[in-house]
Amino acid sequence: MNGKLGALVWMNRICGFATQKMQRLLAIAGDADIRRQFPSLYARVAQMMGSDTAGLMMQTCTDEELLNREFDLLARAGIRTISYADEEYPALLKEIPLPPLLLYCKGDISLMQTRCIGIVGSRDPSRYGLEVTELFSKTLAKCGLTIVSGLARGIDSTAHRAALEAGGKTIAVLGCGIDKIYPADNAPLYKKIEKDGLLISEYGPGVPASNFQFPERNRIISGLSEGVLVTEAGQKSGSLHTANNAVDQGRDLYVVPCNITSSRGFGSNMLIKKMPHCAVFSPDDVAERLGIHGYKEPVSAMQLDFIEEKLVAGLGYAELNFEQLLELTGLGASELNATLTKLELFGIIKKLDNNYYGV
Amino acid sequence: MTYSAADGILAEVQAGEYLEKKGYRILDRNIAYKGAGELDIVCEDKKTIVVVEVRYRKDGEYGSPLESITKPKMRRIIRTAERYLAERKLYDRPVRFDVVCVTDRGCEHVVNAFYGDFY
Amino acid sequence: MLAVIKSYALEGIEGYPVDIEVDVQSGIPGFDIVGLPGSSIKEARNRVRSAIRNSSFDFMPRKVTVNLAPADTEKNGSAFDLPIAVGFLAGTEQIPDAALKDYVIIGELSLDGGVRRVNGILPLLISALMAGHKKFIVPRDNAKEASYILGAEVYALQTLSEVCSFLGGILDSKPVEHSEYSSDPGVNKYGIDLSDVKGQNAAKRALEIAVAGGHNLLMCGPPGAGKTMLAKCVPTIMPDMTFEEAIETTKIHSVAGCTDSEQGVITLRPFRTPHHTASLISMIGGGPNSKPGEVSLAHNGVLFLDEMPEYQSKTLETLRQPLEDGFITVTRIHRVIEYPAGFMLIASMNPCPCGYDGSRIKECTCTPLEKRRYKSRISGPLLDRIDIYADVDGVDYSDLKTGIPGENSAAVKARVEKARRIQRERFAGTLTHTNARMSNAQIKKFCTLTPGCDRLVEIAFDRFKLSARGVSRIIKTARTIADLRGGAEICETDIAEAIQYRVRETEA
Repeated sequence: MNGKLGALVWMNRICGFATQKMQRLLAIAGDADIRRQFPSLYARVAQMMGSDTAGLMMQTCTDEELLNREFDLLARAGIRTISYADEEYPALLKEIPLPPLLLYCKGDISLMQTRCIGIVGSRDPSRYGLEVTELFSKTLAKCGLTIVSGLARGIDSTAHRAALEAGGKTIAVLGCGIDKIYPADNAPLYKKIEKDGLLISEYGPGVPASNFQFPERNRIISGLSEGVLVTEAGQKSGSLHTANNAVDQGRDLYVVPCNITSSRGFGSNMLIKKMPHCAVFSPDDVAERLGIHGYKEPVSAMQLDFIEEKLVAGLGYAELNFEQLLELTGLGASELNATLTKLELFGIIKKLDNNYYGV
Repeated sequence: MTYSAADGILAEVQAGEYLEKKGYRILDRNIAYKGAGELDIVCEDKKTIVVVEVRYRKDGEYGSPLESITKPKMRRIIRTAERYLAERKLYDRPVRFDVVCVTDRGCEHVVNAFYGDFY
Repeated sequence: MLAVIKSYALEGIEGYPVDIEVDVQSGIPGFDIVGLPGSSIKEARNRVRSAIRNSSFDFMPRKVTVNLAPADTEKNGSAFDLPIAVGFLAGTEQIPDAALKDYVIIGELSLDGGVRRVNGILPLLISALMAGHKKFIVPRDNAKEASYILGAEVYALQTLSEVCSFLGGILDSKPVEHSEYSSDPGVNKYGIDLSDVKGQNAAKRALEIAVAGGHNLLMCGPPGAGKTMLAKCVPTIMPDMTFEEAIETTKIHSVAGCTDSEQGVITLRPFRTPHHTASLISMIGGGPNSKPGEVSLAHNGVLFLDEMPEYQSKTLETLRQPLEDGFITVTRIHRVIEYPAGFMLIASMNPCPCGYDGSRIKECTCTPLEKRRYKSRISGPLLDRIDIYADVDGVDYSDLKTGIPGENSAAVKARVEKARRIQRERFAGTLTHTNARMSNAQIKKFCTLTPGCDRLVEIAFDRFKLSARGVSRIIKTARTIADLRGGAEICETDIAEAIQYRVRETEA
């Protein structure tokens, strides 16, 4: 059944081959259905991969029941499989060297046809990094772009979360089996993305997370996207890898400048030093380069009074703590708290750590 | 130096004389039961039965003679006294345990040296 | 001859009568104590013997049997020394026994015949008084504590011979004069004042609300921001203890043996700061001597847990019962004891293990895993019992220098007392005393929301992803804010302010 898809699932799930091997096997088979024609290909496969492997393949190649059971399992877990030959397979991804032949998906697969932008960064970001990520992710999501990231801790999670919060769409590319949640504390986010976005992985259910898979995952992030935005990357961050992938694949690279006194943004700044043209200073910069109109916040429906106006203006200038706000507004602690809540409720300001507030 | 049996007998005689001088009436000497211990002197001070243990020491040697009465020794004396009182049907009389130390300088009498429960 | 002395023993923070029967017989001398004496009571015979001899009485070699009736409950402590000694002296007819039956005698003996103070005099005497006993002989050092009990005729004596001559009618001693309870309103005796804390107006306001409504409070801020100092100020803005509260608190402290013989009754609200290595037993009470724990010692006062996530999670979880019910049940092998534990919980924590997460001054060095572990040490059920969450500012040096001294404790206390008065009237006739303890039915009854407030809560519910319980906490806090304002209705600003103090658990 299922021609190409069946062959891929057979190779990947039953024989346990990764993309590279599958590609070589397909090259041997050419146009023929590798599964059905396997006996005739046996000699060449055995020469290439050894007779043990080829023998295993020989045993299973016509076992329809085994394959059906596998499909059944995937269907019951709510996992869609998309091969590179399917029309749902994103065109952009085909362009990269060694594209994934088989994608496991959970969620809304139509998202792969939308315009995507990757947002990646450090797993141990600074507050600034998180802030920048949130700002870019939210705004770009509101512009209609789908935010692609890797569901890792730190910047990745924040990018996903911000996109969903802004009502936008997001794709998470996993570096482990499609049913594995890694890191485990992202479980709520995983569920949310499954519901409102899309989870994809090159790895079938049950494949544990392992170090070499994450760089491979990175090539899919950049492959899916028209451009990749690095919001904060340290010196040895994996996001630098994604950035290089993006350049190799001919995608746009955008890098947000970071604090030069902090080691957490060192990698980003080095990227800018190497490729000054990739520096971006606002979400609008990115939108402009992608040729879309920047997103304008609709003017808040809430009418601000004089003091609130003053407070917002003050916070626009710098983040202030409670004491400074008391001084600025001349209010008492109780009224100031009430005012802050109102502004916070309408999303105009937000509370930061250590009792600081910002716009 | 070592003590001979004669030293011990001499000491008990001295102690008996001393107690009689104090007005105690000697009831028995050297009560011994098989399997139990020995009572040196049992006497009577008015209504109270006084069980006396006699100790003999040269002056100041090896600490006070009182210290040589250990808990097991007391326990033995108490057990023997119980038996003695039962045999003589004296158990409704107040009882007291005294120690008389005989030294070269004379006798030293410790009233109520220990109680039935060692305290 | 047999002598019977009345005494009292402690069970939790109540006393129960113990008859001390001393039987003196002829025979092989000995001194036996029966009736499940603990080891401190078994040792009483040594103290009693020496005390009697050193008080120039005769410790006659007799067969003595002391029974502590009821014989089936285990007894502990040294408070039976004096009654046993008196019983022996009466049993050997060295003192007359005619007057004995009128008195309840409590006291520990020292070897020289002195009478030493004992723990728990206040609860013992109160229980005895309620059982109909009027006359008491207690140690002199316990006199002040006993003097607060109205209607008791307390004789505080210093030595065994004094006690004997008093019982024999030779010594004429006056009963202890009754002390009137006064809490000196208006005087701050805590040695710290809210005006000593510079800046921190947000946290101060949160404290005021927390105290006014009896809400539990969690403060979060970087090290050295003044969380501990703020917490120490809490007793200074709490209303003064009433006599009933003072007696309750003193009872517990008396049982634990930490009352002061000068002071007698505890007039200051307790402020307990158990260290984070505190064991379970030191926290909730119990142990071999069945002492009340920190939660009980903080009764009517403040239990301050500095660096809350550093406490053992087992210890923290035990706080759930007292936070819910106001008492703690300690189950021992022989019995179940209930200690009151109605305290206000004030906890502090850092934003992360190193303390500098989000700080402007220092970079945080914690890994995400460490941060998550740190925060997850405070369990959800415990957080559910904390109504108010306050962020404490990191303090700049300039703030310290220029900070205008804020209000002093007395001003805040006046407002708190007003708010508490409103609550007393509101909850008159119910078991609830403060807004924090309102039941759901009471919330419905006393916290009607205007449509404007309703809308505000609704928006907050969606935007901040509050839980149903989170909403009821906000409403309770808003009720207190309205009470502080003197408003009958909760208005929008009250709700808005209360929302600022919500526990921000899932954010960031």
